[in-house]
Amino acid sequence: MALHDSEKHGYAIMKRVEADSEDKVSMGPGTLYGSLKRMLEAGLVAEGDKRVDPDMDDQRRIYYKLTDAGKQALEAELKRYRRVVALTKRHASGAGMAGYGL
Amino acid sequence: MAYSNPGRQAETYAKLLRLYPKAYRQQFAEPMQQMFADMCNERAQNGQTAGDLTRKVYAETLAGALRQHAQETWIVVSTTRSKAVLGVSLIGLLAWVTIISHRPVAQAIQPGLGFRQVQQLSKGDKRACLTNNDSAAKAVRHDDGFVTYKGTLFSNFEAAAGSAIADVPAGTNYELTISSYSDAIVRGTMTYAHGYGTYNYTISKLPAAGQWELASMVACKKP
Repeated sequence: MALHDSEKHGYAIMKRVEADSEDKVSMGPGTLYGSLKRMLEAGLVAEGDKRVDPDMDDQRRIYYKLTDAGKQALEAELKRYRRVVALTKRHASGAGMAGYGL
Repeated sequence: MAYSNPGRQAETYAKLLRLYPKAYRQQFAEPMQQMFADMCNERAQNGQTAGDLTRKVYAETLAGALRQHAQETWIVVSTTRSKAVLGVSLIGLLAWVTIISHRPVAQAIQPGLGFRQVQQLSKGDKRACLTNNDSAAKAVRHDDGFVTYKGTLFSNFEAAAGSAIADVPAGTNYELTISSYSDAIVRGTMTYAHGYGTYNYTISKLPAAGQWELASMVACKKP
């Protein structure tokens, strides 16, 4: 989800995850690149250019971007979340969750 | 910047990354080091020490390396051929363990049995024969008694040992080693001539002075 709006390098992905989760999720390099490896293998993410981040030092960094399959998977996942949220709201308002066995 | 002039933490991290599988390292070691340096730099810029961060990252790296190795191992065995190899190996291992656990072991022999029975009880794995201990042998000689038969002096201890197999022909030679002597129990090895075997024996000292009794023996294997 951290890549949905733009390509990012590892450190930027980590910062984005921290910001989106309000500092509740902190990923080290091992966790982050382990996840990236799985998503690369699944074809959801692809390696982009290796270039300098103008906001950081002069080191060249590998950028990662969502593939079309990754965008579709993200969209499907967001739909699923929206459905869960909608169900939870209905349940909270007393409408029940008939049909979902909940 | 820390990345262009890596400190000790960066060096340690680079060493830890060697724990990852080679293919993983080739693809991700460089960006991981870069990210670690970025995290350290951020701490430094905020006036924080990197101690807490490095401990977390090092632990995460160890766990990540183990996870990647486990995944690669699973990928290797997830092909049909590898599964077959693994299956055959497991069956082989199981068979080997079964054979080992059911392999016969040489049994204890009570004195006075015939040689055929002794041979039956001596089949299977054998323990090592016992080596001589001069001080134990000296102590046994000290406590031993002797009898005279037809003008020849016989050791009671040697006579007790020689009573082991009922049908060994009279006059068959045997050698004795005495390995230990304590609490009235002597342990050692006797080797019969003419292929009658080698046995670890246990001989008890009787209350009567200079008297001994063979308690049991078991076939042994010379080193």
